[in-house]
Amino acid sequence: MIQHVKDPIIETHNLTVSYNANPVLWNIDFTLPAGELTGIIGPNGSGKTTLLKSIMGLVPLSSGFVKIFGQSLENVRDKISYVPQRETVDWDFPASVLDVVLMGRYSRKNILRSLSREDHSIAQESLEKVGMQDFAKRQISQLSGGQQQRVFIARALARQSSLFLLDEPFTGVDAASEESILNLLIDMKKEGKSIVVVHHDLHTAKAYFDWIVLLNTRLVASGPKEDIFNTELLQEAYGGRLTLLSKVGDLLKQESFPIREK
Amino acid sequence: MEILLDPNVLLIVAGCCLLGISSGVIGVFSFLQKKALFSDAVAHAVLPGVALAFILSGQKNPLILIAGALVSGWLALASIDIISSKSKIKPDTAIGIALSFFFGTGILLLTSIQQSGAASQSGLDSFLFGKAASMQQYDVITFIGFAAVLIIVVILFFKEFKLIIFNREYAISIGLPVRTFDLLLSTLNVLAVAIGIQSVGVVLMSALLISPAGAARFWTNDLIRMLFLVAVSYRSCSRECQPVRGSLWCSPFLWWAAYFLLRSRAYWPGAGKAKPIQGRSTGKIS
Repeated sequence: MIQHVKDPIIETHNLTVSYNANPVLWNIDFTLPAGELTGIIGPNGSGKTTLLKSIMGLVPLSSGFVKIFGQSLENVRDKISYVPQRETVDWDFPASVLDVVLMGRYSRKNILRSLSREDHSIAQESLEKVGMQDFAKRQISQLSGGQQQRVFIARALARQSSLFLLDEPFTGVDAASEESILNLLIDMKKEGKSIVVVHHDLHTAKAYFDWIVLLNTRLVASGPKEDIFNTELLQEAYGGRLTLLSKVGDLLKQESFPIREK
Repeated sequence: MEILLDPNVLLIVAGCCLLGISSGVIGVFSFLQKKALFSDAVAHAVLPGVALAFILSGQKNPLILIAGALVSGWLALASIDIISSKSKIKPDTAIGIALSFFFGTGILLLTSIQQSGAASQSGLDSFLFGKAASMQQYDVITFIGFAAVLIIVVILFFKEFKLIIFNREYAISIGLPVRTFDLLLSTLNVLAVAIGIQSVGVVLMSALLISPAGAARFWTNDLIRMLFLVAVSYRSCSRECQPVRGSLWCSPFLWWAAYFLLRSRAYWPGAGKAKPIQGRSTGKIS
């Protein structure tokens, strides 16, 4: 079930990406609505992160194209914030929290220039939005997982863009941090931003997102969450793993009665 | 003390200071990129370039020698890249292959120069272990020029280098020309090696690049402060030992300093690794 929208914020057509001749994404064709919290969901190795990277032009496409705001990526880069997976950077790097958030103000336009006072105040504001203002001077290795994730989100906020792409922001984060990050995303949505999140936890997905993209190398489904969450589609995406779970459930049910029947 | 006021000594000290500062500053970046051993490979790999440039030109003009060093240093970097990306060999092995191949070729060429009895070959073997005192005025001025260029480029692109090393994918995502900066950074690296070998030689060049950066990292959590520490440590140490005893002393001194700092890191209050309990445990578990 693939539902398309008018005036999509992201549109992919016939998107195929492969590593060493193995396709990771195959013929992905979807449109995402603006101003919504969208979750990209699928089992491990289903190409969720690759999908985000191909939207940001970080991996070469084997075929197809991506359009953002109806244009090609190069024209709208400044309107997009990409938040990579937390594990992809070395947190021992000699930088403070504020240094990292200030990186959100870098762009191709200020390569030879130093950051202005305005850039600094924007960075400071972003830190306040994620509730990390007291940690501005802290070395980044001395943060917890949830705090590191919030610093990354603050850096994205400092770009003042309207579309946010987050790769697994809830991974390696405790329950309290998960909730505060979710609230942050909901606040951003209320300000009219569009947010796309790669997420691996099926249990929380329905509560967190408005629009859901189910992925397993091929696109399984894309639509409002009410239409997506049915056993048939989930089984198609999760395949064997989900059937295994339901089989175990069936066996347990059978075995809890036989003694009485005899 | 009188020897320190001799104009020749002053010139060489000034040259060594700038060499130390520029290679230290570049070393900080390769240290943070976890490419410290790449610099060591490049340092060894410039030898055949220097020797070949001398054989072809027949003179010891530093500009020609630096050009030769740049070419072979670059070839070494490119071959490491190609070996590790096109085969199953991992980068560390690729570094070993390139280092031994280039250094072996360099020694071969150097030996053939020495046996050819070229009149002006005296001093060329100082590239092997370095000999700051063999620098002449023209050499020093050339090196100072290059060192200044290195430092200026780093100041200009400091912000971008920092971002690309910290978070490459993010840098690409905001549209920075990352490949150009990569190329620039490795060129600076090769250049720093090419001008630095005169003072410490190919064998110990990596000490000039890596150990100050390693030591400075334990002193501070701030990249700018780290760069300043590297620069300052070089000035003071080269002033004491370079002109009098020869630069060879400089490197073991720094090595021991780095080792001492490593051992005593728990006592440095401001250091990042000084608080392993807080940083590590919360980072991984929560």
